[in-house]
Formats: sequence, C-alpha cells, structure tokens
Amino acid sequence: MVRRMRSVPDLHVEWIEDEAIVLDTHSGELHYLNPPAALVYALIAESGYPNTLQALERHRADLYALHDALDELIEGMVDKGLLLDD
Amino acid sequence: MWADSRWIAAPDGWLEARATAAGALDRLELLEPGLPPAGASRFEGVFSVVVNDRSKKLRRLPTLYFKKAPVFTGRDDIEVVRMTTSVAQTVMRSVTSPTYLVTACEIHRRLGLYARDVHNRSSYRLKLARVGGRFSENPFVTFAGKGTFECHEWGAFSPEFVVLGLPAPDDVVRTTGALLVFLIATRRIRKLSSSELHELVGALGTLEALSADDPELLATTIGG
Repeated sequence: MVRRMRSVPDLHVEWIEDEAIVLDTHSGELHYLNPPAALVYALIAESGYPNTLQALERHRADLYALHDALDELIEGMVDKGLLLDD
Repeated sequence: MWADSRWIAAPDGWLEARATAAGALDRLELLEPGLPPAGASRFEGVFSVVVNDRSKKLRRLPTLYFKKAPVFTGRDDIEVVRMTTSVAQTVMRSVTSPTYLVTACEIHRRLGLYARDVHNRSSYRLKLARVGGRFSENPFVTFAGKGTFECHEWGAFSPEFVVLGLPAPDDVVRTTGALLVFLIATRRIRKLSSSELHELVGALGTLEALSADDPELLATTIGG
C-alpha cells in the first residue's frame, strides 16, 4: 500500500538545529521531535511520503529495518496529530 | 476531606479554593460570596490548602497545592493562606501575562530558572539552600519577552542557566535546544501562542540546562 502522508495544517513548527517543537495552535498541545523524527517530518512536509522514502532508502542499506523504523515514527506522528494519512 | 470551599472569579471562569478545615480560608483575599452563577465555567480544586491538624499525633506543616502538586509549605496556616492569595493573583494575571510554573533562583550569584520540582521545601531545594542557593517564594515566573523573565524578588532578569530533573546519577546531564524549550514550554499556565513559542525559542534556545542527582555537584557546576 502506498501511503499518502502530509503534514497537518495549522501547526506551528519551531526548528532548532536538527530538532523541532510542534505546537497545535487549536488545542495548545506541544510535541518535541528528536533529530530522526524531525528529519522525517520535515521531508514529508516538504516533498511527501514517496520522495521521503526514496531519499532515505538511498542512505540505508538495511531497507527492512528502515521501513520498520519509518513506520513506527510515522504512526507515532499520526497518533499525535502531526501527520495525516490520506 | 475538604471542610471549606470558596470561589474566586477569574476572567475566564471560576477557580475553587478549598481547605481541610472550616474557616481556614477566611483570610484569603479575592473571594467572591456564594457559588458561581449557573452556566459559568468552573475549575474545581485549583488551590487546596491542607492545614495543620492538631488532633493528630504526627503533625504535618500546612501546605498549598496547585491542582495536585504541592507548591508551598509554610510554618503556619496564616503564611500558607497568604501565599494562596499570591499564587491565585498570579494565576489570574496569567490570562494576560505569560506565566510558567518554574521558579526563579540564584545559585552562586547567577540567576536562573529552576524546573526540577515545584515545591518550596523539596529535599533537593533544601540541600541547594545549604550551599547558598536562593529561590523565589512564588512558584511561578512571568516571561517578559526579549530573553527576560520576571519574579518579585529579582524583577526582570535574563536567566543564565536552567535546572532540570532528568536522571543524572553519576554526573551532570546537559540539555539544550528544542528539548529544553519544550520542557519549559510545557510548564506554561494556559495556552501558549505560536508567537510566544517563537520568543521562547529566542530566550532559551542558546541556554544550557543542567540535571544532577547530587545538588552540591549541580551548584558547583553552575558556579563554574
């Protein structure tokens, strides 16, 4: 199944070097993204899920581990209301 | 358990102050007579005063709780009710002033933000006080923008450090960047706006937070 992820609108993101803080301006909820999560979030927000996957696959030899880690990160961000899975 | 309950009218709702002894809140300022009007927003148990129970063998010092957290233990009930008034005023002002449940502190003549705990008599604070640490009496600070915070004791100040309570059994753990800003931002009373978060990043983004299980090691590290 091909995912069609995109970032949720109306979120305010503050980037500090390779980390981020995301504020849901409606609920006031705050989220901290560590460097791997912030990288995935930024890539998906900028260029969508298929391009993000391709970009990451170019740098990782172990694709099964990459897909597992990516799925876990993305599920976490969907659960927290940072990404939408269309 | 609660023998006294009164209501304080805040701009966005009614805040309950309650105590374990009848009449304990008689000296509390800001009280409104009677109950909140029907349909008004109510926030129960915002301030809880557990007074000294003289009927019990093991006496505990009177303590103010903000929501569920103990924030101030005083020598007597009068002191705790006075602090309840001060804390209630701060919480009411937080509608218009950015307020954080973080305590201003001074360690080795350097001013900082203490976010390890919120209780004025925590064992960690008492140990820091023995090596010269001082703490603002009010458990909150106001973010004044342009990198400064405000408290009653020291007015507006630019913090030079932040104290956190991350596990650090053997050495000092240092926290910077987004994680530090996030941990302080979660102490905001009421909703944080995106512009305030941006300013907070400017104020804290270059600071370093220190955690150490040993308070003497923490103080020595801050003192340089």
